[in-house]
Amino acid sequence: MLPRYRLLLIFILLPLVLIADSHRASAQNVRPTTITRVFWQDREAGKLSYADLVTTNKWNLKRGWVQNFPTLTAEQHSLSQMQHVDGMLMLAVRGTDDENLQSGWVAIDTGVFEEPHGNHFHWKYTRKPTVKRAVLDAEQGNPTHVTVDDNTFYLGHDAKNGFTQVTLPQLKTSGSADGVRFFSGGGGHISLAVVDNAVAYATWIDREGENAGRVDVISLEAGGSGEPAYSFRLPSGGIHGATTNSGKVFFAAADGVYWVQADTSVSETAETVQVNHISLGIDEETQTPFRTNAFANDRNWVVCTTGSGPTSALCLLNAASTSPAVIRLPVSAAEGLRLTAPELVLSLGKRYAFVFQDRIEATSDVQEQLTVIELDPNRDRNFSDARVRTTMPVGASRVEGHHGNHHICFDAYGRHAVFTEPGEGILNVMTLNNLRIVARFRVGGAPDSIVAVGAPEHFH
Amino acid sequence: MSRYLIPFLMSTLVSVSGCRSEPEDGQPVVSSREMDGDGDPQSTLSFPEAVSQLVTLRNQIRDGFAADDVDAAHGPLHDVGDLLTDLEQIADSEGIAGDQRQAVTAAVNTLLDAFGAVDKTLHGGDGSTYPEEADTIDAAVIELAQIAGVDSAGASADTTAATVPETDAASVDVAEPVPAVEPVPAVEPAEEPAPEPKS
Repeated sequence: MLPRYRLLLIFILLPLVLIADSHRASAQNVRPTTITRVFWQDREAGKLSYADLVTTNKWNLKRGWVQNFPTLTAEQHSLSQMQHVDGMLMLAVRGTDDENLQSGWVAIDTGVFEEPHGNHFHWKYTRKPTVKRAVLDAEQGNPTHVTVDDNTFYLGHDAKNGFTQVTLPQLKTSGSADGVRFFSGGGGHISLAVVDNAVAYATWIDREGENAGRVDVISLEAGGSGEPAYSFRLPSGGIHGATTNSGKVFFAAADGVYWVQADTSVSETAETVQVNHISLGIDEETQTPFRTNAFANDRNWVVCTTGSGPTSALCLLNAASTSPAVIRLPVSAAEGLRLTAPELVLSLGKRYAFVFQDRIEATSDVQEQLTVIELDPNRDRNFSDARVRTTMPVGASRVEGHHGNHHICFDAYGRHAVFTEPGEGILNVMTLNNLRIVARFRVGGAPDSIVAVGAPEHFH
Repeated sequence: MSRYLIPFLMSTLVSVSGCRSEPEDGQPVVSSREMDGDGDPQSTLSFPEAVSQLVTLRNQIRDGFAADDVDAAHGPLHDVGDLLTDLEQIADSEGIAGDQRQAVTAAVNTLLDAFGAVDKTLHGGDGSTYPEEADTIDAAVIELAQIAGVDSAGASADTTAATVPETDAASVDVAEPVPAVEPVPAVEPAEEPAPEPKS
């Protein structure tokens, strides 16, 4: 080749090589975007884990430890419900040693916050999660259920027949005992429904006896007695769930759902309160009423699951109706599977309920599933047209009593879901615009309950 | 041919090497909004330029949602709010008055409401989808384009930017190797929290 043509070739090829290299480099240096921060319980280790879900041109989990988290062991403690609001995570801790019940709660500053950015906000993940306050001692009475109402946490203390109110502003500013108040009410395994931070409905778990079906009504007014103003009784016991929606309070009992009008002025009495019943049907095989264990809310709709195997269904109640009736959506499930409590999300204008079909018996090998139900396909805010959108196989649960089911959480914009496979030690990432699993991470242990705090970072 | 090829390739090289999405540290981001002496943002665009930019942003948002690429729509959706906020001031500075000035106000308010409802949905709220607001947005953009004397159609946005590869849920085999996350070392009570593991 003549020298002048060789030189020409170099001039032609060199830019092409550099262009290709530049493109490769840019692909490798895509700015990492944190999608959300997830906290999950590892029941095998009895610990709380967290990680930032990060994406570039691939997905990654950046794990870390919650700073100053108390030392807990799976032998002596079990992590129970957790809820978050405004960047603060509340975790209930049960003790398993009856001789020395070290139980209570841990409040964690998640380190996730929204930063003002002109006419909008940007989610930030620059701070590490840190324990703001931990109350673990023999006086806390094994809390299980955690409820949030308007920036206030409520924890039911099962062994103390009462609950604690923890106010967020005081918790965030001082981390001290300010803003923490105990109320008597509820018993055994307490479910709570709180209306407008004015009145609490605390339930008793008893199936039989004098406290079966009992609901205590407690005024949350400052300076109040902290004792039940009155109590009333549902016709059936075994109350294991309570919620409020559209000025009504709903209870999950042995025979379906009961509701009362919310008494925010605490002016009713045991004699005047009117208890209403919504049957979820009768199981033809066992001739027992269908029941549910937990509720979820979206707008004026209360959503729950019932049945098992072929009788599985999602139930929808229009709480705004003067006389709510159940809309029952059958969910195809194999024998030996039961639907978990629904988790609801609003994603790019679409409303979904996510329910897992989990094994009833831990020793079963029937394939478990995730079912996604679109609650309002025609977007008229009437959920009577709810339909099953898709069902997909998922890795195993690890059911032990009340624990070990699959759990799912969503980023604050409702764009992504993260769900656990306790039996596999895996977290799955799903994009909600197409309901596809885009990444799976083996985190080990038995990942159980999970919450997500924050939404995708945005750069511009 | 080489007389033209080499300078073209060299100019391409320069443009590729110089292209970056993020400014260097300490470099201000130059946008349509610049700061005046009091620190308040002041647009340097003419009214026709601003409306043309509005058309471009509308198209990027529309095409982003149409392509199911919400991230492509996210940035323009924020930018359009800034632009709309400036638009009435720009109209005043160019002497647009009377019925046309009122029409600008009406169109801007309509667009703020419509894009705001779409933005609310994008951020997990109970707003509108883009298709639900498309007719309203297009009508307001046409109104402004007629006042500005610019094309209300513009060009479609390029939504072919690479996105994160996805796996079809139906094709996921739970027996397949799972990308492992580096295990977090155990923390002893007396120790400081463990440092972040290398990702």
